[in-house]
Amino acid sequence: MTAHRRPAANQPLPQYLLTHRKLTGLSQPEVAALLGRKDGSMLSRYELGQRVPQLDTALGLIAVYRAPIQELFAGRYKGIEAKVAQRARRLLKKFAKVKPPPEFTHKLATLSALAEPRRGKLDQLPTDVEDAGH
Amino acid sequence: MLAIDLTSRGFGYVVMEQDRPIDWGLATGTALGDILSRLAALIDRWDVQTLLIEDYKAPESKRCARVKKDLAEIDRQVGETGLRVVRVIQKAVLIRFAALGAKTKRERAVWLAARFPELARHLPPIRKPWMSENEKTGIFDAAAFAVVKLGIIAGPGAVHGTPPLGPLYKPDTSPGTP
Repeated sequence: MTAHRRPAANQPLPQYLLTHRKLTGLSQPEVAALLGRKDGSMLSRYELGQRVPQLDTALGLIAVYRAPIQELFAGRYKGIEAKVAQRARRLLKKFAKVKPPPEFTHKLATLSALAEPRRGKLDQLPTDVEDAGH
Repeated sequence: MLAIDLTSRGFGYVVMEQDRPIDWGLATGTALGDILSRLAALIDRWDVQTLLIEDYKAPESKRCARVKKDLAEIDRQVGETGLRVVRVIQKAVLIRFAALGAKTKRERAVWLAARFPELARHLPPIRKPWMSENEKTGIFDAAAFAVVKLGIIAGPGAVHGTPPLGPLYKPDTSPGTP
């Protein structure tokens, strides 16, 4: 059993490393070599969702697959983004209790933008397969 | 959604998310136990909710007895796990693709490779009369089930161009977007 689960039916998976590797046509040992590893076993664990790569390895994967982190780790990123939004809303509530000085305008605008997570393509994932009819 | 097509050596498969493949390939092993364990691994890896198979019960199904028996068992065993199993009538695939001018397996595979460039390098060579069917055809047969079921190609008269390439998940990074 792996940790590779959607948080909800219409949410993206935590990561799409295997998908992006297949897009490149590279094998696990080849990607591992590009990342400076001896073999592909750790990459296999990342692809299965059993382990999460450290920052340098994640940056290496971005460099190899030429895809942004939000695509490679779509579900994980969305989860973190949602938590940031939640914390931004909490901070905004604190500022709402007192009248903020004019120099806080930019800060409040930043927090307001953070409080609303961006919408991605997979936010519209269908929850069920509709019968196309045949 | 996971779509599979049984071949002489195992099965071809495509895992679809929204309207794009996120995994595709061939699984080898003709024994039913091997097929089921490979299926279980794919279902687990991609948190699959729906399995698409050929409708082996359709009267016009031309699959051999062994394949029909295996499909029936897959239908039963996977269905018992709570996963939704959807059967796709092969005739529906033929009709839908024929409307696009893709009447043969080769033409369907070429259409699918244009629609999903990530599958293009798996296009089998053109089959000559003395050749057996290349097992990679199974990937495209599975993809054909998926596109018909997802409604990516609709009925006759629909116009479907090849969409531009795009990332699997593209967050909206335009400023001010909620």
